[in-house]
Amino acid sequence: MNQNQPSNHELFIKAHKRHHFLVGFYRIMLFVVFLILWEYSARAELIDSFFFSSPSGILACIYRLASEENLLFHISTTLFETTVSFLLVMLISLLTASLLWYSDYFSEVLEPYLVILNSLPKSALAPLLIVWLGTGTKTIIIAGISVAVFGSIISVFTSFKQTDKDKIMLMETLGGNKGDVFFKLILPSSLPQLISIAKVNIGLALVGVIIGEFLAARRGLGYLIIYGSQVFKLDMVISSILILCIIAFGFYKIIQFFEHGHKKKNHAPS
Amino acid sequence: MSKNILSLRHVAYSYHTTQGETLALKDISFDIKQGEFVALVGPSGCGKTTLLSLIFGLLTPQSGNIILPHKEDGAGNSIGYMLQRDHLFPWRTIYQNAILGLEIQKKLTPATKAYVEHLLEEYELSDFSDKYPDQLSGGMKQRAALIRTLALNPDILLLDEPFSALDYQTRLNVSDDICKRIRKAGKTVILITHDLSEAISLSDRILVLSKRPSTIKYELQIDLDDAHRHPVRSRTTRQFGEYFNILWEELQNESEPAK
Ligand SMILES: Nc1ncnc2c1ncn2[C@@H]1O[C@H](COP(=O)(O)OP(=O)(O)OP(=O)(O)O)[C@@H](O)[C@H]1O
Ligand SMILES: [Mg+2]
Repeated sequence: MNQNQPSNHELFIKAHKRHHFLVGFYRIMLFVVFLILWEYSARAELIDSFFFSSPSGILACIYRLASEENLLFHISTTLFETTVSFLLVMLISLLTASLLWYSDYFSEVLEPYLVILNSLPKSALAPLLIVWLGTGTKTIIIAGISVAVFGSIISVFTSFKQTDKDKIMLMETLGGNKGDVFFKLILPSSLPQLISIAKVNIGLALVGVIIGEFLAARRGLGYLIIYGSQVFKLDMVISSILILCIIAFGFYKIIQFFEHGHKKKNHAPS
Repeated sequence: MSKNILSLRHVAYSYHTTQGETLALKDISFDIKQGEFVALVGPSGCGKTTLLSLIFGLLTPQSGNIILPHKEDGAGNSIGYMLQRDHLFPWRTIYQNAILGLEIQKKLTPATKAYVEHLLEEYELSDFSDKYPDQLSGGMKQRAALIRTLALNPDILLLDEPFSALDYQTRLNVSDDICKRIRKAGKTVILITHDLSEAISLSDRILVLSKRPSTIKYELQIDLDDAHRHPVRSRTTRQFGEYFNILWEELQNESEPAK
């Protein structure tokens, strides 16, 4: 019996590892097949490589951009603007949601305004922002914030509000005031939701920053995309979009890293 | 004869909502003596939880008085309130949960920490103090929640159906075990329960509440010797059946529709 158990477990572990390996393998295969088909279609002139480019064309374009057009500078500009927007969105929504949570009056009065601001198409704001603030980094960052911030406030506030009323009562039976309730109960119990909200926000901040760069920038990946399309260098557009994909994936991974850290801490196996 | 540690005089309380007023408690008066173990029974929704919240001070009576006489040394008697569910925080270990009250009241000292460790030991949880609540059984969680309340060393304990989340077997053992320890520590206890045998076997006195708007309808003094203060053994005594019938009759009258 004792000999059976570990071997069963070993089988389970083996199957589990195999599963992970296969998923990873197929993921990469899918990408490689896609690249090969793309390259082949372009060379065989099944697709027009002027419009659709090709993997080798993109590599060459990225190399050229990096050596001649200061690609790294554009990438770091977009990265910087997105990171700042994201951090400010998180900060603003945490602070505002805390205030809304603290005062029922405040939240009841402000609720319809938040809903309206959130349902507004934010790209419609961008031209206005440019007129008000000019075409600097500040404008881009604010464009990034404006896309994410209202929805984020609503989501954070909702997650604060979902906290079990009985747990709040428990805090009161232990002599806790509103501050204790907030820091020892509301914040820690909303942490998983805050992480998912962060995932959404980082994507939205990136969208906002690119919209901003479309309209008001002389640098950044959004600018490269717009510039490329204006001068019909579609290689440049597609390369920039690919780099954006990689950036979005990188951000996602960073937040996932925090998420795993949080889960590990909470459910430490003994 | 020990003296009163808590007195209620004509306490009334109603809840107000936009739909109207719910008079929960009409006229409640009773005294609790130092070291007494009192059980509170009554039909569902009659206001038992409301009564504990009033005594603890989460709610303020609409009329009447709740009197907590001071101790000889002049300090007030402190109250510990244990809710129906354990409400342990899943992101804190058992130890961190146990010290939550001390942490909130800024009373974390080497002495209080040692006291919590002593309690964990006494309630056989010291091996689990670094575990998280979801790694514990229901009975263990209930004990951890009790330690969280006891850590503040209250003179009066208010227990709102503390065992109702447990299965019957565990409930018999845990209730017996916990109540013995609390008695030994000389605490004054008010226990809400729906289980008449639990009330009889654990308490010195039972207060029966009428249905809403409620008053104290009946008071029953329980005389069982210590050997028979046990949820199972108490049933073998002659008095048990008598007490049970009296309580049953009183509550039965309450649940019949009013004419
Ligand atoms: N927050 C509230 N607002 C309005 N009415 C309430 C509120 N809390 C309780 N009540 C009402 O007051 C009455 C007493 O409630 P309470 O919770 O004290 O009853 P209980 O005796 O503890 O019931 P149970 O045995 O089911 O736990 C009930 O009729 C309930 O509907
Ligand atoms: Mg109740």
